Parts: sequence; C-alpha cells; structure tokens
Amino acid sequence: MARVKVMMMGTIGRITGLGNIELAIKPPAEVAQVIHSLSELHGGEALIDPKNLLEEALILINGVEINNLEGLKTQVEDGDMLVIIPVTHGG
Amino acid sequence: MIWISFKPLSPESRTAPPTCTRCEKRPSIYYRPYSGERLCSSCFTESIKERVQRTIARFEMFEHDSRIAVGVSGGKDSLNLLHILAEIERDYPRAELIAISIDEGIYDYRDEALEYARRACRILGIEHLVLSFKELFGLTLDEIVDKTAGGELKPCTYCGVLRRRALNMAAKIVEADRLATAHTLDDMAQTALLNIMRGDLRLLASSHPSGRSLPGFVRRVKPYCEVPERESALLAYLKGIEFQSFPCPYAEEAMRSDIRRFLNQMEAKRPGTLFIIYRASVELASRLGGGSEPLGVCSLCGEPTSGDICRVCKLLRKIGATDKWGSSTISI
Repeated sequence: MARVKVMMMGTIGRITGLGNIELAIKPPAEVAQVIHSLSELHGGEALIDPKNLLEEALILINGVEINNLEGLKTQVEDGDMLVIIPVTHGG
Repeated sequence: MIWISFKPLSPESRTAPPTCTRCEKRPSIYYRPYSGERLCSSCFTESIKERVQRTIARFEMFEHDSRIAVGVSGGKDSLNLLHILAEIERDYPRAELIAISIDEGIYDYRDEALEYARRACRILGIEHLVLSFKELFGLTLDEIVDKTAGGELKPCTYCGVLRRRALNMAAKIVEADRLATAHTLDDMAQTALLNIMRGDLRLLASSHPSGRSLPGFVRRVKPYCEVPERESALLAYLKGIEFQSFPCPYAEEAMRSDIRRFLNQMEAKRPGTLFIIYRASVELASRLGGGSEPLGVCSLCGEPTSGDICRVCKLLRKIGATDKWGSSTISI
C-alpha cells in the first residue's frame, strides 16, 4: 500500500474537520480518487467535490500544483504529500 | 490512519514537472493558464512582486516620500501585500508604512485574523493601529447583526460601509497620505460586474485602482489589484503565511457569491476572463471620470458627503445608534 499524507489548509481543514490525515491507498491511483475519498470521509458534501475544488482551491502534490502536472489525473505515489489550499478566505 | 482501496489504474509513472519558462533552470511548480507560463517557486514569487511594482508605477500610486497606511485584515491577501510593500519600500527610505486594522467585532473570525496581523507587523517591525467598530460606532458587527436580523440590509452592507469609514479614520489618525488596500483581481472583476448588474455607474466610476485625492479622504490605492486570488493563496502558502481557519459567518452576500462562483467557472473555462473584465472596468471608470464629488459635510458627524447625511449615519440611524457615534471620540 502507498501512504499519502493530505494537509487541508485554512477554512477547508476546519469545515471538513479533517485537517491533516494520512491515507493508505492501493496503487496506482490518481488525485481525483484521493479527493473522492476525502469527500466520502466528509459525508460527500460539495465542498470537496473535485469539480468545485479545482475552481475554489489549489491542490499541490509534493509542492507542485496539479494543473502543472496532469490535473486530477496526476498519479499519487507512496510518500506523496497533498496540500489543499482554499482560494477564498474572506477578509 | 484510514484505509481506503482504490480501483486499479493502468500502471503509468508520473511525469516530472517541466522546467520553469522564466529562469529555464529550476523545475516549475505552477502553471499560469492565462499566460501559458510555467514557473518555479522563486520566479513565481518574483513575478507577483514585479506585478505589484508595475501596478504602483502605472497608476502613479505613491510618491517617494509617501506615508502609506496599509489596510491589514489579517487575511492572506493583505498579509501578502504588507510583505511585498515592506520589501519594495526598502528601496525608498523616505517612504513609510503603517499597518491599520479594523476590528469589526466578529467573534472568532476577526480575533484569529487580527492575531496574524499583529504577528506579521511584529516580524516586519511595522507600526500597527487597530481600531474597532465598538470604539468608533458604539456597536460591534455582531451586535449590529442582532439588531438588524430579518431587515432588508445584509451584514455585508453595514460592514462594508462602516469599515470603509473606519479605514479612512484610521489612515487620518496615523497621518497617512495614502491608504493601500489588498483588493485582488478577483475582487475588482466581481465588483465591476456587481456594479453593472445593479446599474450603479457612480460606484463603477469610483472603483479605479489609483483612487482620487478628495478633501476629507485619504487617497485609496489598490496596488494588489492585478494579482489573482488563486495566486495570492499560492504565494501565502509559499511564504509560510498563516491561513485563517474561521470563515466569516456573514460572508454569503448573495449576489457577490453568485458572481464569484460564475467568474471562477468562467476563468477555469476561459483563462484571462478576470483580467478582461478588470481592464474594461478600469477603462470605463476612466471614461466616466471618477464618480461624484462630496459637496459638503454630514450634518450629524461632520464627515464629507455628497448629501445632507452621510451613508454611515443613515445606516446607524436605522438601528438607533447615531447618539453613540456622534459623541464618540478616538484618542490614540
């Protein structure tokens, strides 16, 4: 199994109540599947629906924004760190 | 630890990120859809600073000896702007920066942000003035919301009008000749569409990023207005700036939220949309000539206004709070 750390910054971390978690996944897998699993963990709310998420948040994999790779189709590998940063914070 | 199984995919190793299109040395970390650039962390950070510098120069926002009050809410945008201006101003020893924050009195949300603002000012060694709605107007925003629940005006209307006044008062107290706010490209495009959809050409005309010098008002400038909010979020992350975890409890101003969602979708489908709307609105504001001039002073509070009574006093009168406001005195 591949271990993937997910860090949810700011309001996304607080609202989902997930914060920082580690997932164990069966490779190969894509970012979209990680996000889908997070949605399920959160109860399936649209907040972390992949389509909305890409418009309203940045997703980094090992410090690289996923649109600079292959977007939601980017493969995740053992030891990867995903960071999800909400774009709108208010204030 | 949570165990999840995924559907197997065809085995294919991940490709490495392309080389930065700017320095042509380091691996890129960000793809900028509206320009086609792929940037490494340091070129990305530098590009944002350069954009702010270009905006300042293009709109002639500052003089070499400006005393600049920076509105710092404690959110990522204003903290980024404060850091960038502090860096730029190192080359202008006669210019001064002072941070000003307005505590609207929103439980949790503003308390957390103000702590981030205080911390940033301490690190940067920048003087920081915090003024609250309570001391200026006699009520916190939470108290105003309680009083106005179910009314036609939403919390954002009160907050926007009062905060604008409070920032101007704070800028005057610190004797600034400029008031810099961290409105992003997204804010500018949203406001432009909002004003068009409300048919408010006067507001559209007054939303020019260079501001105007008017009697009684510290000139408001928006040096961050060409930075997309998405890039502001990435910059904050790269700089290790703290992210607010509490969302504003009153944030859902219906029309702006609809426009924000619409523009986010348009920008994702047609990169560059935000810039096009922003540029069109700046051009329109220039052609419209800057909006109305205040002709006199408010008969209740003495602040400049184009009518008999200013908008702040009209709103406070609605909730029976003008007595406290009229008699409030701020001493720093």
